[in-house]
Amino acid sequence: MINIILAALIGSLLGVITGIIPGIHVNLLSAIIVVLGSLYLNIFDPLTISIFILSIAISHTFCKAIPATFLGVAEENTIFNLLPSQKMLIEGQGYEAVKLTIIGSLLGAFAIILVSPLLLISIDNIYSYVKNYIPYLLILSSLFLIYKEKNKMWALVIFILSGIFGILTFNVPNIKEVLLPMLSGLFGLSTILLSLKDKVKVPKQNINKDKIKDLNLHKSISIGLIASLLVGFLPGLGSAQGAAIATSVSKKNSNKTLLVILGSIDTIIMVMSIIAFYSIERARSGAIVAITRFIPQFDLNTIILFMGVTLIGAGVSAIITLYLTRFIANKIYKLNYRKIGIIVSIFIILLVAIVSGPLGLFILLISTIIGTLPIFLGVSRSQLMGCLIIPVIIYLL
Amino acid sequence: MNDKTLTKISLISSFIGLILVYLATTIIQVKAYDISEIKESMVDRDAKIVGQIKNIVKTEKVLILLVKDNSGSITVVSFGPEDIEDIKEGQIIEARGKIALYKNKLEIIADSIKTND
Repeated sequence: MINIILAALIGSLLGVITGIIPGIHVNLLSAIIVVLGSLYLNIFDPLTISIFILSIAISHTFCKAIPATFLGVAEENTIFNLLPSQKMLIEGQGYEAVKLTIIGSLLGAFAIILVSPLLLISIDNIYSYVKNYIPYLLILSSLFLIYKEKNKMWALVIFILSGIFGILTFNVPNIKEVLLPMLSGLFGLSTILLSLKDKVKVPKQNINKDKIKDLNLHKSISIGLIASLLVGFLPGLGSAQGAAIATSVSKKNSNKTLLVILGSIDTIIMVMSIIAFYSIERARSGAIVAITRFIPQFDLNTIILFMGVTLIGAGVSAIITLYLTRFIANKIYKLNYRKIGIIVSIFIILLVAIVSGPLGLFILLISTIIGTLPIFLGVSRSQLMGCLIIPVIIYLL
Repeated sequence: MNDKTLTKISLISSFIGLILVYLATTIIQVKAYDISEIKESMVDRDAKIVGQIKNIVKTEKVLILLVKDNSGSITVVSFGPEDIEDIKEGQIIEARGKIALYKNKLEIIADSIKTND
């Protein structure tokens, strides 16, 4: 038991570190752990390694809100909170923005574990019913999201352009971790470069430790659960889009509500992926793919153990992320935001060069250019997810 | 929700997590397999088999048993033979341990061996 708890704690700490480094996706980290697997399989048993990976993944879902808020760097799943959290940052409420996503992640972990018995019984039936309709549901979801845009024609253009870019990119031979340059450019580098142009000045941040008012947590977590089911069943759909569809049911959603929902989705999906692998043997996240390399089959005890590790990781990460955010929020206004942006940009370029090579750099250049278009054309950046959704639709049809 | 409440809920989360880990590790039963079910893809996983001892090789440090059940046979290796000094051919045993591959042959590195006595 001690080895399990130690693996959970060390994994959570590592997840915090990877979470605050912009551009590092948990799937990339999982891939590295699998590649290096033979080195430590002689020292640790497969279960301990699996718990280590799960803890990193859970902790990462908590901490990635920090760069998304303070540096404007987003992974595909943090696109949607770019506007609300950055708006709060500019208003001096960056700390509160991250705190809201922590609340969402933590309560999301509790909520999904509470409903997991129901999912364990029903997910198999739901999936067997839904699986034949996945491409059509993806088309419907995409059209709905385009229909919701003010500038529908440009939204459609961006969605299709991203889709063509995605198809071409996935067909590039001999490239490692193709998603890294693609998503880093579309959602990361493009945002930072534009923020450099605008000379963003981050004001002194207010550290509000008091109760956050006007939070409807029941509603937010329920919407988070619905959105997670959508994302869980529809490959290619990001949590941002799941949230956009789920929140469209209710008319009034404040920025605070949106941040809680977005915080909850990634953590819920991580736990749902565990249940999905147990029930339908489909690994719906990179971390679960990595875990199944070490434990090819889950039984009910494994599920209970993973739920326990999730709660340990969630608790530890929530506290660390909260204190880390307080520290960063206190310092951010003193720092030269432009310099930080340049350093982060160089980091992303170097990371892509090392992981994906020269071809990766070329993809990064194109994806960065495409990533700036929604901002100029007044379209939601989540339309860029066409880069994943259109290839998935074509593959499934 | 203020920071204090958030910290409290986080601590409660970790505490419930610890309880679940404790429950899972104490109720986890190593899965019992027919010998023929054990495959190379299962190397490093824990397994339990029940079978009859067909052959015993005893050295100072290692006990090597050939164990057979209705489906097949497998070698069980134990590095702690002092616990089972009175082991005999023909006895039914329950062996728990890790599945391993040695010289291209599957075997079980036993953590525990229980006889039917």
